[in-house]
Amino acid sequence: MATNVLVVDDEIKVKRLFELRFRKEIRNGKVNLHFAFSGIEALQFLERDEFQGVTIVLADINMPKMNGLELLRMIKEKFETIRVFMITAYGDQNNHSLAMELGAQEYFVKPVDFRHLKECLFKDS
Amino acid sequence: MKYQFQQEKYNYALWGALFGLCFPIVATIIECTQFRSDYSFMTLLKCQLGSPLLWIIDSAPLFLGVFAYLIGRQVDVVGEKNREILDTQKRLILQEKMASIGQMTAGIAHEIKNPLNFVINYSESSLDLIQELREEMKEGDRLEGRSEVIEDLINDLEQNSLEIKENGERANRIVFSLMDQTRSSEGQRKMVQLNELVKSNLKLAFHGYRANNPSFNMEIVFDLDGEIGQVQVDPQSLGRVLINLFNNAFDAMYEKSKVAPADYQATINVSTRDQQDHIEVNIRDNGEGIREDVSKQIFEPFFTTKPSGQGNTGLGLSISLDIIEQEHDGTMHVDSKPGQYTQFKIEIPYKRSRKPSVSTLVVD
Repeated sequence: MATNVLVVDDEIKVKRLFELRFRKEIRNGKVNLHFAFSGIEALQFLERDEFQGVTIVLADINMPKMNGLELLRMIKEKFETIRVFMITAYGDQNNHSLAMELGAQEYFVKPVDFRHLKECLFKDS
Repeated sequence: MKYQFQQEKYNYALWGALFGLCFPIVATIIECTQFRSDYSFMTLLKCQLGSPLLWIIDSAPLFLGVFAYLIGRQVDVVGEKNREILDTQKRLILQEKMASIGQMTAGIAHEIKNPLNFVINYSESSLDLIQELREEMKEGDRLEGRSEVIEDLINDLEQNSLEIKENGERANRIVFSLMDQTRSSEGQRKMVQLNELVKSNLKLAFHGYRANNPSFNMEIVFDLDGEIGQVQVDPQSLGRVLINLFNNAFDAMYEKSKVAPADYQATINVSTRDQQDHIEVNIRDNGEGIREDVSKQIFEPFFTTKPSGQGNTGLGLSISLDIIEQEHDGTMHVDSKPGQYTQFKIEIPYKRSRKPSVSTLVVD
């Protein structure tokens, strides 16, 4: 069964990058990628998502209005079972610790090592 | 070196004192030998030591020596204190500068990692695509039916190369613009695009600030006057002023957000204006504002309302004011309403140049 992953980033160009890097997994039916381009859009997606069954969210931190950490907090409040992975250009300890405190599964610093990311994503699925 | 110098000075004073002490004896010896006195040495010495007037005259150098010693010591103490103050000042100014450089570095790292993420991952994706392409080509005879797949792979590869190029250039622009800002030594004026300078420094300041305060977020509202072109400024020092003002704004909004109602939206408004003979930069935040009694002191060196020991030297605004007034012949004013807003207005005399630009500051 395919794992449904929601990617949240305000930079629209990440869509093609993720689709390419998950090319094989998408073709094999291992992954379904969904995209949201803001925190609010992501929450709306998850609220009406029942039939898609998103279990993993990959969120950027630096986004206008609602940043990735706020999104993480809200997802953890409303959808406890969803695993959230942060993908960010902030490589500092402060952001990392706060993300982990708020319940992030893992914290990836750009440039993203997709092989490691995939290992983490599919470890438990 | 400092110690040796002091020691030398003390030595002079001690020699003076010693000379003063020995003077009555030396005077007696001189009297005995030069004036062939009929009196014995001891009688003369007793005479010298016994006469209050002679004692005072003869021992004057002693007092002078002791006096010189005491003065010397005092001068040393004052000099030492002065040096300590100057050293501390230098250290604090450097600390202030390093803090803004440190923050800028964190901002730069953030800005560069984004294009780098694309460059590295599109390259890796291209390697995967080439592998796939090779496998398709191996099919040999049955190639014909697969031409569409191959065409798709080539298109993807082409698109990847374009993305790599674009993002590589984006990273290069960031590096170039920052190099441009830091290449000139401080105090060197050059023509820069003011709006770009303001925008790029706000981004760097914000990402640098967020590295230390991850839960801080804000909305940015730009109102930049398109009429402003190139302005002759010192981009490095003006950048420091901007980063300092942005930081203060972030602090004010962050502090307010901790006590404000949940719907509080931290917002920074940044505007630039072309006022014919000068340019104007306004930075307004809706943070906690500045109390009236405090606002009179904010430009004073070492004045700070923030906890010490966290890199708060209290020099930020006084250095900023210096940079604007002394280096740019401009002015800086503050307007604030406690609990509501703070606005800094910078005015710098306009010096347009007809020369074409080589210096633009761009941060994506």
